[in-house]
Amino acid sequence: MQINSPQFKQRATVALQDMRLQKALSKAKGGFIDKRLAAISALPEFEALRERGKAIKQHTLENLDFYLERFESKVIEQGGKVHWASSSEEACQLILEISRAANAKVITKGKSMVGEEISLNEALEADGFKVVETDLGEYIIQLAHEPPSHIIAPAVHKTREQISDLFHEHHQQYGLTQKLDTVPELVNEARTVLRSQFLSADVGITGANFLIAETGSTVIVTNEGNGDLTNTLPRVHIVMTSIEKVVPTLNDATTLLRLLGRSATGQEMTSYTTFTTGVRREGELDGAQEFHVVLLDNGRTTMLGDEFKDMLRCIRCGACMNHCPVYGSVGGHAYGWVYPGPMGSVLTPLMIGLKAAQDLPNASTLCGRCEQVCPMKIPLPTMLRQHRINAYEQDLMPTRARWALKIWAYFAKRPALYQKLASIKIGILGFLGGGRGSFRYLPFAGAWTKNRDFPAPQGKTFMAQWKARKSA
Amino acid sequence: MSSREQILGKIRKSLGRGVLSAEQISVLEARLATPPLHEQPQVNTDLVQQFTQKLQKVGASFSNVENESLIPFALIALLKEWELPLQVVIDAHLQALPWTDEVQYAVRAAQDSDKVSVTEAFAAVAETGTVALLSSHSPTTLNFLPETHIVIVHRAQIAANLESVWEKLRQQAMPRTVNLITGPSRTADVEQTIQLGAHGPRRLHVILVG
Repeated sequence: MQINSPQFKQRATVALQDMRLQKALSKAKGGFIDKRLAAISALPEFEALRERGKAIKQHTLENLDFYLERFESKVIEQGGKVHWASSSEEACQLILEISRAANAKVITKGKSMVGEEISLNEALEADGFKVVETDLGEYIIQLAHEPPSHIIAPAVHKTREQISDLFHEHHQQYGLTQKLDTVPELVNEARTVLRSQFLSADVGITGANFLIAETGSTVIVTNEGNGDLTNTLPRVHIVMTSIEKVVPTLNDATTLLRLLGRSATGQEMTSYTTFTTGVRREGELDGAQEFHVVLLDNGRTTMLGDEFKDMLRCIRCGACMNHCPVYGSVGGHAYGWVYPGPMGSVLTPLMIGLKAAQDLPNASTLCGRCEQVCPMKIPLPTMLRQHRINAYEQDLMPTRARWALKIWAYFAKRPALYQKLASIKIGILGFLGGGRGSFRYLPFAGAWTKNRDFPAPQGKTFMAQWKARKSA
Repeated sequence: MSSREQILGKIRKSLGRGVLSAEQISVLEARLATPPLHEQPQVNTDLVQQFTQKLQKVGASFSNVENESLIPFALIALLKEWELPLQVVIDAHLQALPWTDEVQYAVRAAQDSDKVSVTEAFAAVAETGTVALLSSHSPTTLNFLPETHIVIVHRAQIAANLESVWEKLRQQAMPRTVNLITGPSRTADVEQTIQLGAHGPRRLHVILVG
């Protein structure tokens, strides 16, 4: 996928002025938050499950080599194959080879964020395959030639009118020429169009929410049923996933499932949770006859040994972005790559490089809501701060910002001097701005005063008032 | 070096250790052999009541029959009520039921044109209103292609939590597909509005036996 993260600031500015996007975002936000809250309020065990979920993932990560090898041997036992890919390019190459060997023409896909991460569609299309996204949200953005803007609701930025226009434009070729208006009509038309694709596909590619070492199973969690038609109807089923998705047993996965659905959509269980283990058995009437699992690293083994290790616990529920005031204002596309919101601001710099993504860790007020709602208790604000430290240490910041920080740090480390200067400064500002009560322009604060006035300080500094009240 | 060796090597390096010792491995093997039972949500002691409540909450429907031999009659009544043709696709285990000439049944995998399928569950979960179906018992396409999916659940098959279903499944070979189905197919991808029947069945009905 094209990397647009370096243009975060420009993209965020455009997003804030995009009225259709703002309408779509405001519709989505409340729904996710309210549904999650209702679901966890109905489950007194939720906190205990969070602690357990975290412990399960920690245990698995400490023994990741063991569980991956066990998973692999179980897949092989059931007639499947496991392919290991260090990089995105290698993963794409492996899938191209499997698809060529299968003489595939049409490839159906279930939603896979790892697929987006490795730019799988682009690779397959460049090789001449017809690729059809079958998750309704993914299908909509494939028609629009756009990347997903949310990890579980990829088309959350699209309004019904925009979707209606897209279908009207692209479904004419199937003889479906009527312009549709209502949600049921739109969903039904997509069902009709995609049903024929499901039946003609030679290869089906899905992602995985979990991998089970105990049984060699891959697990997908969906609501539409598209993932199941993708992994059942074609002759070849490929699972594109990454190494941190493995958990030891079916019981461990069950604990994580209780956290995932509630945190993502407020569901106790999604409509379809499917465990796939190997190939069609002898005598069975349907199911894939080839089963491939591609395990991607792409930087994850490095994270395992550094300060971003906790991020490998992420189960991709999307709760952090649903509760993020920045994501809620600018939407997913502003972040410029696959993973948006707080989890994306941690992951993206690790995957595409901190230099290209250095604005993302700053696109946070560090308010901490993401960590509060994270089912895996990932310390997202701490990691965003770590990225900022790394950007400073790696000399990635603009020179002016570095100097400003250095000067500020000099005084911040000397509290007496800092307080003295602060009281002088607000005295002057209070005097100068006192008449109007605010400033239209201030030197060195042009970015702030461009869009709003800067209030003039009133009275003394907080520290001075604190001292005065304490002694009174 | 293959990518496999490279990835496993990098994992060990990042964890600051070499390969696990035989002793460490035996601890992990023991955890796999006896999967730990973690915290489970409280479930109503009347499992049937909780199961049916949850079924309705997720947009599925249910009806009761006293014994298996009544399933074909219950089925005919349902199809008439829904104004559907009296034609169904069933899994092979249901062939032994006392079918009447009034309803046509086929025993095979599902086709695009099929309207109604009937399959037998392996188990059900009261906690969430979920039915578990196995590919070793019935073709998986029966669960997804037809617009109406009818699942036969025996009352005694209803477990409190999913972990009990796994315990039962561990007594046999792991099938290619385990479908945990909780309500009909749905999507909220157009303006967060829930719409049933995205790609799978629009209607999920459970016939409770016993």
